[in-house]
Amino acid sequence: MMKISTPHAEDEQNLVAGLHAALPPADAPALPGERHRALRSRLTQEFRRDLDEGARPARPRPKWLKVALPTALAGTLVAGVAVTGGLTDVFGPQVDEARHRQAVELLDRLAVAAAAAPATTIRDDQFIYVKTEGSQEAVRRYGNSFRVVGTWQVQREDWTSVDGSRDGYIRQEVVSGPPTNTPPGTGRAEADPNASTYRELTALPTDPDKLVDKLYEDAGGDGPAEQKAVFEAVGDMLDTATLLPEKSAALYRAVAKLPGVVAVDTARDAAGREGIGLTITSDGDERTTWVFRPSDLTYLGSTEQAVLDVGVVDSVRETP
Amino acid sequence: MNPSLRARVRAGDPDAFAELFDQCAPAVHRLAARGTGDWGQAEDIVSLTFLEAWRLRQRVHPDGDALLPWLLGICVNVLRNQSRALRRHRNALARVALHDTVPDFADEVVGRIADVEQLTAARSALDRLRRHEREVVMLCVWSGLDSAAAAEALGVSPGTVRSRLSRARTRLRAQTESELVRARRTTRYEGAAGQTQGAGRGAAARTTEETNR
Repeated sequence: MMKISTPHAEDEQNLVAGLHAALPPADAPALPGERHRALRSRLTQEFRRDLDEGARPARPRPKWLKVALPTALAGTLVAGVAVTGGLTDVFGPQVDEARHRQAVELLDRLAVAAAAAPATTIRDDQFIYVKTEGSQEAVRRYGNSFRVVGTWQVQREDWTSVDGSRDGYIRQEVVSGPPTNTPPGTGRAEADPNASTYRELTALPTDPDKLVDKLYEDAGGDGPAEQKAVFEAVGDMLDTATLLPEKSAALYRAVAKLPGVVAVDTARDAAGREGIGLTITSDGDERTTWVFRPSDLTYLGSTEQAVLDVGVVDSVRETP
Repeated sequence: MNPSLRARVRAGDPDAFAELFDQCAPAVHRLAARGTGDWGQAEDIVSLTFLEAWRLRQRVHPDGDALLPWLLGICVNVLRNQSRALRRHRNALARVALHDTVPDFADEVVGRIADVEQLTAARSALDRLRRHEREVVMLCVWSGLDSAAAAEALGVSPGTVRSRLSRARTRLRAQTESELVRARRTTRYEGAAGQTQGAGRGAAARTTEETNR
């Protein structure tokens, strides 16, 4: 959950090899030959038929329409985004300057509010506790196969070792959705040498220019795709960063330097709480919006996961 | 894959799509089978992926190498929102679907039964990941794309792909243990799975304590 930067230091092959080891094998063979040939022939027939009917190939949609596509299984809501026709490619001609200015102003206020929060003293032997809520595919086992039977609303608690030296813990609970015979997992979370720790978060630069440079460097460039990566990386830090007023403020000031960041009048976090939104322009339909409580600018979470509680405890399974 | 196939795909040549099908359908089918854990569904996902590819053929970039990342990206989108793809292609799918009109060869059927177990286990691991993480795992770990190709398929940066992979691994490490517990429990309580949820939780917690000791 908490991840501070893209692990460039680590070899991509190691990462994939590690995932191979963590997953059961799935050596699914291809379609049997006879079915492959039959399917190919039917599809080709269908394409010819489509041409005969004179159907025109799909025109590329106007870019702004794509942001309005529903984010299917995530079950998220991004109110107010669909109507902003000006949102388009970050470097395109139609950048919504007004919304970007609003975002910069909002980020300034967020930084001021964050800096004023009380600082917490945290020891290396403690654990960071983060409670979140979001949607997951509801899965049910039928004999030998799994079926998606809807969506679960799941609350998840994560305990992460402050210095990364000890195993953490994850507890998940379905709060609503279809009944299941395969509940989400609960159990020990091994310390991951690659996951960033709270201590690494404290080591980030507080100067916004240096911080944004570091974030871009970790994302591997400074184009529009990397901007999204930076936005996503910062989004992963915001919950824990609330314990560090200075870093929190620096993160908001760094985000204000992303040219594609825009304000959203109203947005809902994954628990349905309404607030002011902040997002990044994108020409895909993948879009996460951060949500802040209007009264005191508390970070509520994002359209993907709501942050219910953040704190520090002495041992796993203990709550603040 | 040669550039002329790419150009012919863009131009909407059905024969080019037949060629594309020969080259890429096995990989698309593997992804679909792993993503759904269900053979019947996987075949429909393959059909929907190619129907979508036909619909979106003009969006293929004129330059580039393999078309597989593009197709796998479409397959991921279809898996992500099957109902939307089904709505769009309902009639075409009805014409294309083979159902039981084409028999399986006997030895292939035997292979399938064994594979079902693996697919089920894989699906069970995947469904604990967030959607973004699940997609990069399917593309990079099971379909063998590198982060650049997976980034192309998903329309994100390679850095984003790597960070999602890293998060997926963190999550899976936490899950491996509860998966083992579940597997054990499934064997023990076969046929009464619905009643064992509480027992499962308890078992997970106990195992953890044992491991910590």
